[in-house]
Amino acid sequence: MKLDTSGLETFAPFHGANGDLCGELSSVPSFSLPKADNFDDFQKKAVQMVKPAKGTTTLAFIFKEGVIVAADSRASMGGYISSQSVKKIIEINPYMLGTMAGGAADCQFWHRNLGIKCRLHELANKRRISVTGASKLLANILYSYRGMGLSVGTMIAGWDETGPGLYYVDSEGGRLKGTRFSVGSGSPYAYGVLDNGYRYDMSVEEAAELARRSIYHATFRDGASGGVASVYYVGPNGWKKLSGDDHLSKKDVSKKEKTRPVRCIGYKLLNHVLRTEFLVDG
Amino acid sequence: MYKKHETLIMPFTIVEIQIRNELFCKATHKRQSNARLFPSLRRTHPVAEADLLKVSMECVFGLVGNGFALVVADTSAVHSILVHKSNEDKIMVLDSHKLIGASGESGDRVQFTEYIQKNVHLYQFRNGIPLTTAAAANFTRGELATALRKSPYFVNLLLAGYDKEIGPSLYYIDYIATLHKIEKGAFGYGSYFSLAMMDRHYHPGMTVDEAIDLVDKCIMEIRSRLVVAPPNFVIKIVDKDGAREYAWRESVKDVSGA
Repeated sequence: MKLDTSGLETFAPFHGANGDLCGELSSVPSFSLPKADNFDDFQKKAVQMVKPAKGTTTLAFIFKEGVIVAADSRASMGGYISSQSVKKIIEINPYMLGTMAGGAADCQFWHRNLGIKCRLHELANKRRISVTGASKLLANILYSYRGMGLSVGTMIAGWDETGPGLYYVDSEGGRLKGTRFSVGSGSPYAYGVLDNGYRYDMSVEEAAELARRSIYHATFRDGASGGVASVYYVGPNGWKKLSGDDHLSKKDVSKKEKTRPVRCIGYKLLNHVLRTEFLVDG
Repeated sequence: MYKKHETLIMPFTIVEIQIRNELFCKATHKRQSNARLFPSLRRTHPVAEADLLKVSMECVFGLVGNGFALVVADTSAVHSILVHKSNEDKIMVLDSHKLIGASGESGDRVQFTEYIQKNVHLYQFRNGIPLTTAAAANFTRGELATALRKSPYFVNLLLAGYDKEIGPSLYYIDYIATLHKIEKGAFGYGSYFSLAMMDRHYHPGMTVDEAIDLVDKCIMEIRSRLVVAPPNFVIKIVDKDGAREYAWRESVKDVSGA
């Protein structure tokens, strides 16, 4: 059975864009529905299966020299740790970073999407987009998909014409301006260390150390966070990676771990499918 | 709904089904909202969630005094047990003589109040005169009512304004599009305390000082009796001189700054 989505089109719904009307009766926008007695129930379960992926600690704060962004590197699928070397800090452009909490696929996709929009803004206006503007672009997109199962908890941090900027954006459509945020299941622990050690007039080294320590303590207490802390600094000349999974992966992570493909939280559904198929085959 | 639809179209041939589908869509396209076509992908209907969302942890209240109206709101941005921010301004200055205090889901709150603000401005640009407070309240209510059967905004509002001929006024608008003209009103868990305090101590024609005293009483009661009491509040006033921030009542230094 197919769900007809033509009612959602804002323009005249029944004409193929190419004008090939004959024999195109079936070109009504639609997608097939899963074979389930109760679709609502099915969807709830499907969302639940992907959703509890907030096994993350990310943080970002503004201080005298700019913005520090830090995150752990563990991807978990429920109790199973699927990777210890995930890049949870996404480089949107040389002056802006996004953090990843919630569904990895959702975060990656929408940050990439945001990167495109920011670049287009740059080309159209001959100046870089502000952090305020970029975060609002993302918030508006997420807001338009509200209630449809997206799971994103992100911070947009960067440097623009007004100086350092930091926003918290989530898939419920919320967007908060601030100077100190932490997102993810480990965030209460990270907040504890961060709030206690924070001073506005820190040096970059001190700030990076505070960020690293906050992530470290969060990974200690929060089972779903782990791996290594990656720390970025954003200053007037763009972001710089201060530490992260690269150099530590040589020491701490085995060769096997390094060569294994990185599976992220959002792929839980896919893995579930793969596993099921494997069972069927075997 | 899908099962019903399926059995309904069973007796037709494939082509007939397709044509039927198109006609069905054409007919429903205009009339029916996305929420109707897509019940599963939309949120639960508000009436079903009414009990869950009727009372939020936020505290928004306001009152009308002699020649002025004021709105008070807490300034916490909360996600489950975490306070992400304790200086989030939830009272928007709609135009020169209007305030709108909002509580509800953070996304909806910001999107909806900005939407109302822009439309109120648009009206003024087009017609050269601003909407009266009553007109703005009715417009806001209308927008909420239209959205209610599509994809509702979960926002509760207190709209305060000052009009030259009418004087100060305060309107209560909730997310199911109820509109009341009131002298004093409140939303959220704080409403249990602030409403009682205002019922006891409010009287018509209060001066600014008396009103602020009452507001402080309400805030003190909320802080001392409410388990999930927010630490900080902002007070905004609108009178003949316009809408403006009056004061902050902070018991905790902001956690996130800015």
